[in-house]
Amino acid sequence: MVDQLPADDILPGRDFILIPLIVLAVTAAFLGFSDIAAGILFPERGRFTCGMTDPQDGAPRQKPNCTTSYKNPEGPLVEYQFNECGYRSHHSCGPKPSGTLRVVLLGTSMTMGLYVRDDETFASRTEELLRKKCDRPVEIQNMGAMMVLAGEPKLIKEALGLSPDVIVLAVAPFDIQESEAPTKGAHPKAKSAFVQAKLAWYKLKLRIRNSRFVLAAAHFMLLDEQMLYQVFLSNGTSRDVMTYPPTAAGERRYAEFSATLEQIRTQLHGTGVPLVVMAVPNRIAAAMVSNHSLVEGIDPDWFGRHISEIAAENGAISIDVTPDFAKVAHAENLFYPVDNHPTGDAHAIIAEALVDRLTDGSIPQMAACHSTRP
Amino acid sequence: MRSLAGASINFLMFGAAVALLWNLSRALAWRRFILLAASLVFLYFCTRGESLLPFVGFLVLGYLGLKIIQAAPGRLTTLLVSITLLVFVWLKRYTFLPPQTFLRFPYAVLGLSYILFRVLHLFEDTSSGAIEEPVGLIAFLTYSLNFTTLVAGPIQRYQEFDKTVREARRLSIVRAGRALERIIVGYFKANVAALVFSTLQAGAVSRVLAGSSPQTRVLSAAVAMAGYAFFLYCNFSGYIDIVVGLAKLMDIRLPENFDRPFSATSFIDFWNRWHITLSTWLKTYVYNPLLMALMRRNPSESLAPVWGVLAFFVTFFLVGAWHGQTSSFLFFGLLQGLGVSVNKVYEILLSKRLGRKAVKALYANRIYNAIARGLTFTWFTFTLLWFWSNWHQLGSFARSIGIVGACETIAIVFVAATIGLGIWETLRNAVVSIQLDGQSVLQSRYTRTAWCTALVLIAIMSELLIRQQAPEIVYKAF
Repeated sequence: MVDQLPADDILPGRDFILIPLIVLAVTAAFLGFSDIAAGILFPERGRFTCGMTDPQDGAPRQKPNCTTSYKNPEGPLVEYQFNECGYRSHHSCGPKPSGTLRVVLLGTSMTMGLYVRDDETFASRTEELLRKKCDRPVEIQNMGAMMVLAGEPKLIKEALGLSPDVIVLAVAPFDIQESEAPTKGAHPKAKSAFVQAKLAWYKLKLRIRNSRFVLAAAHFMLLDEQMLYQVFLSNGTSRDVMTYPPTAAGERRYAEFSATLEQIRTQLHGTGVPLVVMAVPNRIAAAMVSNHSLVEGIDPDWFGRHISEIAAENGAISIDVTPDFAKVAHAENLFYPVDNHPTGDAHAIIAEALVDRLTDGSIPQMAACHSTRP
Repeated sequence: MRSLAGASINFLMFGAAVALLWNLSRALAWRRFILLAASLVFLYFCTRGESLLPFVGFLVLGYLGLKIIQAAPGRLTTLLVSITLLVFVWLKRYTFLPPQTFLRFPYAVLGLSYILFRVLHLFEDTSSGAIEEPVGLIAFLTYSLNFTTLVAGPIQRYQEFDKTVREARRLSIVRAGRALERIIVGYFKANVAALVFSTLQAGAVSRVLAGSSPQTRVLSAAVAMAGYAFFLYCNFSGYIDIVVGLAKLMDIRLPENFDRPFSATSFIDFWNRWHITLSTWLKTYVYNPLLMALMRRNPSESLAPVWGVLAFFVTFFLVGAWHGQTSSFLFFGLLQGLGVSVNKVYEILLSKRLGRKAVKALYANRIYNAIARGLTFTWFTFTLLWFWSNWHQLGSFARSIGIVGACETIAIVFVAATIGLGIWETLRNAVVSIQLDGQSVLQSRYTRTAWCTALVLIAIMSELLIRQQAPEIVYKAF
């Protein structure tokens, strides 16, 4: 026999609808308020309006003579000024002044100094440090742009046009990417209702993921070193290039980088301009070497070591900045937790390592500069 | 991974799984089997790496003692109670016993204090005839090891436990919802609020010792004192909320252990609201028999208040002393005894001086109540110094703030508690008085749903953002 429940034990029919609605409404209100609060804590101001696509090769570049201000939610308000060639440089990109030592920087957003004030980028700091060490005037032309590394060979001709004494290519683990295979069967016309619904759901998820609330949550979450490793291991975009022993995916990525470097070498052949390849660690590697942390399967030195090997194979001079981050306590704090770009303080370490290498006497073109290190 | 013996997600999942199995059948044998099996599994996982032999020995002693009392009620009860108490203090390594007598290997003592209360209660009530039916081995083990109350109580009488297990009904969605609400509130208190107060208190303690200015040190001492009281409340009552909620999922009614203790307007009232089942147990098995014995010996009516105060002192000294094995806890007990006995003397004198009518009017005065509440809170936080600290640390605090600083600290706690708790009470009463359809809006199912949803969201956010575990349940150690 099934016993009857007392009257106060029976939920009124309307509550089966009302209670879930209340839960949804409170959740939505909570998330809404949280997003507003996160927006106040992590404000984003302005827009980066200097980006453009090169009409000739379709590569992303910066507009010539452009100035813009942009504050990323995690960083300070930064004014970006680009010269007549679209380089983030104080100097004109015209003919090299006589007697001047000109260093050209190539690389991606990190080299361009994204989210870093002009005087704090490693480009500006390197110029400042070199000026103190060199008998000749020094000028840096920062060709860093928000682009993929595979596009760099297209810039070599332009870089050589600047009559550089040295070309430096800065590389971070995120830059070592695999080209995406063309998607099969993707046809814009074949959009069924189901596909459209899926697309709408994907857009909603993307909107939530890109919300300020999620950014704030991730920011605090990733301040924790252990959490940083956990997230990295679960979906780190650079995991393949930091895994040691190397994985097949990691090998493919490095092979692509090697091919890119070979293209650059071919173009530089016979010009007498030395190429310096600088490996810069990401936040995870910096945290691991700085805190002497161990993460199973991840070698924080592997990226720098292997990039140096590939550079040597292609006749380039190599610099591995990773060990320099080991000298700093909690080096993970020198990177933006969610965005992962290095902060101005990290740029200072990169600049010092770069200047030390450029002035160690092994590069004849830099003979006018003297090392102050024993 | 957080221990099962705490307010962890693991414990919630374990409890929910047990409740699910429990509700598969309404057969009493099935439910007893599930509860006992779950309690044994719980005990096994909570005591891994420790020997269970002494623990099992203590249970055997309890069961054999019970059987002896059942066979010959009254004769050997006092002796068996004494032996059980002696074995308990030996197993718990009380510092007044010679250390060379202690067992040298690690063994489980989880929930031993609460088992002691249950065993002694069985002895006394069986001896007095309050428990009429003989308690069998399965019933004894199910009652003594009940996983919901093993770690930190509440202390339930066997008769109530047996009744609630026998009468447990089919789970309804309404009662499941109520249970879930209780679990959510408890989880929030034990894992979010307790963490906030413990962090606040830990920071304040370090500033007391290393604060730059005397004002900073004094203010920090006040925060440390008050912060620990709130932490302990959230930590302990949060865990109790969770176990009460989990038991509700099986329709097992556990006694309440807290009733808004910081609203108490006297120290006696405080102990009627804080760790209620412990003070009730001691009132039943220590205060009442002691008072009766003293009254029998000296039946003079003029001495009755004196015996009342003395019995109060002894009872609450034991309440305090039970908490730990060191001299700090003995002193904590002394302060509890002192608090309630002075309170009792004050009540007697006030009644004599003003008369009952005037006293009643005084007790209804809001300002008097606010001051009395502030004083009660301050005394409790003061006694807690011997609970969370030790003599050595207390010496360091005293050196850091000095005697004047200590007086200022107590004055700050008193003023802040009087004003703060007064405002809280007024606001609470105002909100509770808002009625809709003859029911307080706060009690409405919809308000409770909204409130619990918000607590869950805050708990998730705190888990995501803070990534710091809340301290273990303090009473687990007792």
